[in-house]
Amino acid sequence: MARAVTGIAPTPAGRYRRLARLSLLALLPVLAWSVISTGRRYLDAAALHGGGADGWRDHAIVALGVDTARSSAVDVLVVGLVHLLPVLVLTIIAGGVWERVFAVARGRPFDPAYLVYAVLFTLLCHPAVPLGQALFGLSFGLVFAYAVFGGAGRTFLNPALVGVVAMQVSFPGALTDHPLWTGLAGHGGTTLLDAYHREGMAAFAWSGIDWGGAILGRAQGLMGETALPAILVGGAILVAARLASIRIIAGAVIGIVLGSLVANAVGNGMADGGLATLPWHWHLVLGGAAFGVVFLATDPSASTTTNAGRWIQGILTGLLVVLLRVATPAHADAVYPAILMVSMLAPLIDHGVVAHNIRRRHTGHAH
Amino acid sequence: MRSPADGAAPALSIAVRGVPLPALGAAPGLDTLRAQAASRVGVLGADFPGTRFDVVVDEGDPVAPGGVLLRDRRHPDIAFTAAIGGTVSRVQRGARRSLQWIAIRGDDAPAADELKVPERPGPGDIRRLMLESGLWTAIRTRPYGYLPLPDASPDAVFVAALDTRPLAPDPAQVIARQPGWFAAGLDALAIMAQCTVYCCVAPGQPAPAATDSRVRPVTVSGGHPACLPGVSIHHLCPVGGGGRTAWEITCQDVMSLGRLLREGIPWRERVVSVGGPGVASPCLVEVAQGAAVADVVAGMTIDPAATLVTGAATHGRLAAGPGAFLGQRQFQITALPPGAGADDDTIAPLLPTTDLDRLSPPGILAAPMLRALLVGDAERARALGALELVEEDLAALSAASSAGADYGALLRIMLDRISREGG
Repeated sequence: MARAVTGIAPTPAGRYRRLARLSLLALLPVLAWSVISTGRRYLDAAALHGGGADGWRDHAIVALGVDTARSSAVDVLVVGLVHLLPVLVLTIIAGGVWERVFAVARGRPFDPAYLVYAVLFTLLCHPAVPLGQALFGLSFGLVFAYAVFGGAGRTFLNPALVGVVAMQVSFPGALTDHPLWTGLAGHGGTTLLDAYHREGMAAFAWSGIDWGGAILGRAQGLMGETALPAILVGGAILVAARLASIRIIAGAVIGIVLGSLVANAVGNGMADGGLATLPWHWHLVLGGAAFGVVFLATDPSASTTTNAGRWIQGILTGLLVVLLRVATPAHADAVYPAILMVSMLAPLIDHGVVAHNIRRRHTGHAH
Repeated sequence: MRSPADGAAPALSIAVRGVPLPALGAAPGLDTLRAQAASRVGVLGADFPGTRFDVVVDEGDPVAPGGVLLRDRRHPDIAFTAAIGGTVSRVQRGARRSLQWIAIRGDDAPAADELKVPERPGPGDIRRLMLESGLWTAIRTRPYGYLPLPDASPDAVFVAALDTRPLAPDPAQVIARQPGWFAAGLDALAIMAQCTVYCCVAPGQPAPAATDSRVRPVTVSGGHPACLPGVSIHHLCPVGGGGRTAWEITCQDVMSLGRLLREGIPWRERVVSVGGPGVASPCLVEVAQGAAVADVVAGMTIDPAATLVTGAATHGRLAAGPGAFLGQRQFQITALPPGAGADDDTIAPLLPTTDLDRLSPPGILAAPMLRALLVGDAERARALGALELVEEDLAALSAASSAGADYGALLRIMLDRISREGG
């Protein structure tokens, strides 16, 4: 029997390639902004510190002629690229090797869709991440959360996230330690969340960070999580391409707002409320909340697949982000474990939605 | 969804959220209508899934207009008849001796047998007339999309008097040529099936002039897939839970039934549209049902490189080779740009993108259903509502999904298996 013809739509493989290209395109604004914000944050810290630290990146920066005392726009770019490029090149090459190994072993074509996860992983690294740790984390994520399941579209957790978590478990300081920034005034640890937990709003003032500054990426953090406008542009691309569900994103924002309102109600009455007193509009812009919700929680292969499930997943993610942040303020940002946990629950959430749909069908109602 | 109205029965209306369609321009109107003679007509086996045919003619036999060509092997009362008189030119068989198509070449034919229509036909008379004239094969059941058994009775009958497929002829214009036929056909269906006959119309379209109180107009608003009977059936007679049966029949077949009851002969022509980017001047053609595509487009300027498709661009069938005939429910020929519908062997993974939910038939959870179809889990597909669907309902999902699967074909396999295992 003739195959049904469905009009002028591109071929399935073409649609798939287009989706892979669009998810990569959505990451470009974040990549670009992370170069700028990493460079600026390094130079800000170096100015406070009276010079760079003693790592190979710092030597490279000096060798490239950057004057940390009087930095120009070019210096910002150079410093940013010195931090981003080595990690990016390493993850792309190492990821390509793993993809090639599995393609040959499985007798399937080489699928460049892994690039999305290599870039995501890079953006989830600290600017000064040791390259050995990055290589380990990326390999773990791409092999055990991606390639063994058959590659793109067949995973159930985000491979980049799994890689970062494996890296953090194996090297506890991987997401927080930076020889230059750790110990600087106001940059205790590297997260403002931790600083706020200890000092309250005063910590933000010492760090010279206001809410607008946090939006523009002046706060310390991982390479990708500091550029809210770029994240929003990338998110718009993903939503327009129907790769990311606006329901998950909206649900997560609702969850974060609701969670922090409840936490505030409890925390503001306590003498030492810590992170429980952080207002919701700070929760949204600090740490990895925006980056995680837009790029990780919405991964179509690692999230719920029903519209009702997407709302539930989003709200759960938001609530869990606030809960984990308040409960474990001394640890690295709780956004990533929260997303990973809800991602594991996604099949269960879908199961509930499907069971409801089936029940209604059997009672004979149209809806 | 249901709004009160001034009549005895409340007026019914359904709002459909349309899906994006390829921009192919406006459909041709009645002013472009021309009559075209068909030198070859055919009956396609693929139009009747689940049916096994007894071929009751041989190649070379003369056949009168309306003469019986095929019978349903398990229910020989169901006859498939010739739309034109002539000679049986080909009986094409496929795998395991299934019937692919049977073709008739038109020439001097014996006169048609007259069908005797009683003065006031009762349910049994109409049923017999439909079976003998071949009009019974215009009915399709939900669930399963099969031909109804000769003695079956549905819970409701659905007639789509609107067509939202791109470039399709406007049923309102076709009905307006013979409104009496359409009204008589609707009345006959209500008498024969003894249940509600829902006549689905577009907003602003006049309600049919049927006299039987069981004929109820339903206004279906919105874009495609508003015209698909599955959408109306989902809202008015949901069959997915099992136990209920709905029948669907196209409005031109209803007109044919009306003429049969009024004049003793069914209307054996159909109004089809020819359009698409490869056609110089799109037009409507009145041509014998099941006419060969080459006959329908004869004399028109069509890009030789275009891909000819019977049916709409949203869900059509490649029209190539000697078996290219208009199908049972196909009222258009679309000339798509070269390469459209080309097969692609690469099977990519199914990414559950958010547009799947928008393109999904009402009440169906897209990603779980597509996964059940891809892995061949009939039990799960049934629980998720496969019984509400036929192939055309999944066309939009096949076009949008990254997996490269023809979900309509997979659904057909599931439905046949569910039916075999006793529903």
